[in-house]
Formats: sequence, C-alpha cells, structure tokens
Amino acid sequence: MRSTMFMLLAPVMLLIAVLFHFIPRMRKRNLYFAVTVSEEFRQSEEGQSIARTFRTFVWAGTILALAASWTALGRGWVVAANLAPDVQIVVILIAWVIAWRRTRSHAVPPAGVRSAEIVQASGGPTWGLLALILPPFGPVAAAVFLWLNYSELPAHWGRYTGPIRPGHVDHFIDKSPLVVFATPAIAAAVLLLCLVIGLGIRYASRRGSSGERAGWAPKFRRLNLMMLTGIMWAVSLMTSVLSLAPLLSPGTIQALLPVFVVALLATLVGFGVPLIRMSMERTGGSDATPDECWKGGAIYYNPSDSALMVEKRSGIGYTLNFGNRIAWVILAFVLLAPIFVIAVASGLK
Amino acid sequence: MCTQYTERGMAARNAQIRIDLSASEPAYRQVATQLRTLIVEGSLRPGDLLPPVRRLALDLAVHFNTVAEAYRMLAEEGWLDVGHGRNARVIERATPKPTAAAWEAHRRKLRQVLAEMKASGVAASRIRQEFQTLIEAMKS
Repeated sequence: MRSTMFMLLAPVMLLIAVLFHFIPRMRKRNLYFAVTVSEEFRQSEEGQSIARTFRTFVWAGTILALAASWTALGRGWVVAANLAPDVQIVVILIAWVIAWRRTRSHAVPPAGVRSAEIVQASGGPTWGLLALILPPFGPVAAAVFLWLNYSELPAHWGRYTGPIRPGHVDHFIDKSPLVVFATPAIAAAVLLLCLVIGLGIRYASRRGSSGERAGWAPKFRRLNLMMLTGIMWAVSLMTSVLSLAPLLSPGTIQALLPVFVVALLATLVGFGVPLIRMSMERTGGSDATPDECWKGGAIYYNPSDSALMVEKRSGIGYTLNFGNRIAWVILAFVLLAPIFVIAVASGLK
Repeated sequence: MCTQYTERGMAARNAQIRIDLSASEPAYRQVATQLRTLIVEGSLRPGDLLPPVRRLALDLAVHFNTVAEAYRMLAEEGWLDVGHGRNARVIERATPKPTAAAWEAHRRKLRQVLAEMKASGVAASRIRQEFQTLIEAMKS
C-alpha cells in the first residue's frame, strides 16, 4: 500500500519539479520571472544567481514533500500524504515570488509599441471553431444515450479503482441517476470551461505585434488553440467511452482507453514542443503588457487592456486578464466546478 | 474595388497602424492620426470597413474606449461613418479649402519637421526626394 501510493505521488511531484526547473527559460529572452529585462540579463551573473536560488528552492521543496509523503504513508496518514504535493507547490510559489522580486530591480521599460493590421482575418477557419465547439457534446451525447437506454442498464455495475482487468471489478455499485450521469456531467463541465477558454483565446486575445518578429503572435495563438482542441477531443472521447461503461464490455474499454491516452500524449508533445521552442526563441520584442499589471509575476490585472486572455509571462499558454469582468465569471466557474465534483462524488458513496 | 474587413479576411491592401504607449501623444490620437493618414494616402478608400472597435482594441492591447474615441474623432472630421451595431466605414469626404489659420499651423509644423530632419543630419536633397515620394503616393 505504502509503495503503491508513493509510486503514484512521486512521479507527479518529480514532473512538477522538472517543469519548474526549466520554467525560467521557457519564455522570450527579455522576459525573466515575468519581468521585462534586457536580452542579456538571463546570462548575466545576477540572472543566473536568481535562477540557481529558485531551482534550489524547487528541488528542496520537492525532496521535503517526497520525504513527508513517504513518512505519512508509513504511518497510514493517507490524507496527509496526498497533501505533500501542496507543500511542494507552496515552497515553489514562495521561491517564485523571491525570484520575481529580485528580478524586478533589474527591470527595463517594456516596449510600448504595438501594431495591428487594419485589414485582416478576425478569427480563423470555421472548421477550427467547429472543432473547438464539438467536444463538450461528446459526454452530452453519451448522457442522452444513457438516458434513452436507462431501463436497459444493469441494476449494479462494477467500478474499477485500479487497472482495468476483464472479468474482474473492484466493487459493485447500484444504478441511480447520479451514478449514471456523474461522469458525463463532470466531463461536460470541464470541457465547457475549456471551450470558454478556447473562445477567449480565439476571439479575445491579442493578434497584433508588440515589436516581435512578424507573425509570431498569431502563430503562437494558433498553436495554443490547436493543442487545446486536441486535448479537448481526447478528453471528450475518453470520458464518453467511460460514461458508456455500463453498456460496454471491459475488454472494449481496455482496448479503447490506451488509444485515447496515446492521442492525449501525442497532442501534448506534438504541440507542446513547438510551443516551448517558440516561447524560447529570440523574437526581438516583448509582450504588450505592462510589468506593473503582473501581480506577483503571475496574475494579470489590467482594466485598460481589453483582452480577456493574454500570453503567460512564464511557461507557455494563456492566462486571464482579471481587469476584465468576464475573467471573474470564469474564476467563479473554476471554483464552483470542484464543489460540484465533490457534491457529485459524495452522492456516489 | 473596396477593401472590406471580413471574418474570412481579405488583405487586399497593406494597412497597418502602430502606436507607442510610451509617447506623450494619447493613444486615441495616435490611432486617429494613423487612420487618417491611411485614408489620405489611399490605403483605405471610401467604402472600406474598419475593424470593429473591440477587435482593434484587442490587437493594440488598449481599452475599447481608446479606439472608440479615435473612430468618433474621425467621424466628426467626416472621414468615417460610424453607427451602433455595424463596422465603421470610410466615406467620401469633400476636401475643404484651408483657412489662413490652418495654413499657418501646417506651415509651422512642416518647418519644425524640416528643422528636425536637418538637425539630425538628413541632406536637403534626401528631404526633397522624400517629400516628392510622399506627395506622389497620396496622388495615386
């Protein structure tokens, strides 16, 4: 039990550590710990010292969290062991704020120049929009199918808490609307959130240039959207199949799930690697956001910027502009979704 | 033929504006000045649709009001037709006869620009050539 749980927690914590180890490099050369600096600063003695201190914290926090989780599991404190990654994240966040504050004393004024095409495409191809909109309908369609065939569903069915093995289930649960519709409902909520984020990137993010190489911003945006769409499709298909589990044989699920997992990983690697490369390349410009609007170097708040989604200043992808009221509605949705999941999960017991 | 701002995009002519938020001139004035220049030069012609306020504001990373104010200013000058629920459109504008005061103001500005160019070492022949090129571009 101890080693099984630890084998599940340790890779997650190590992955987080590796990600944060490389995060200072995963952005344009004139952005360092979310602060606008000169392109040379990253390689300077002070720049490297900031990164060293940050990485020391990251790995110290990771070792501390791993040790805490191992000890807690040894004493049978499963909940405490599950909180170990949170300890790691807190240590990393403290390290981030320290690095951000140190870097701020070396900030240079960000480029205030922005340009925009007066005659241009406003969105993207229609098929791109369609591909973005369709995934939430997967679990919804599965739910409708389950509803239409509700009487055909078995009175009890098996649930798996570990690897799926045909002919073997971990335990049986009774049929009820909550049990039947929990998976598609949760999946639809998550995919709906992804859709809102995708539409935000598509219609409410910057496409103009702020001094970087021509075409950089639209390409970065397009790749992000394609990755999000790919992830949504993989999640939609996977959760639709899982929702229909009572009607499918374990063998079918066992055969299909690896396909979706591979598709998900292929999407992450296929689009993630070019995105990381793009983030690190020398583009010759900064982003169009003022330094003072990045609170703690991570939260963007700028009521003077009409964008809902802006490029992150650390790592890849987009983040919300909390100066836009819609961002608060999305945040409320994100906060309410776990409550919804917990409510559904507690109803399952 | 007119260049229209459409969802599918018809980049028939190159028209780009560039603003500098660190400049002393307010952003809405920079937007208005550059759009006016594009219209006068012929990069934007009567009938052309401009991007929606929201779209241009997003691309320039400024507030909607900044672009809305620029469009309003150009509409008051007679360059644009703006209305609720539709894109701003470039319209035909009768060229007014310059008043003596306006002529004097332009002359003063031109002198300043020429002086700045000369002060920064640009040769008189180069200045003349540049002016000639700009005038020819606006004629076509």
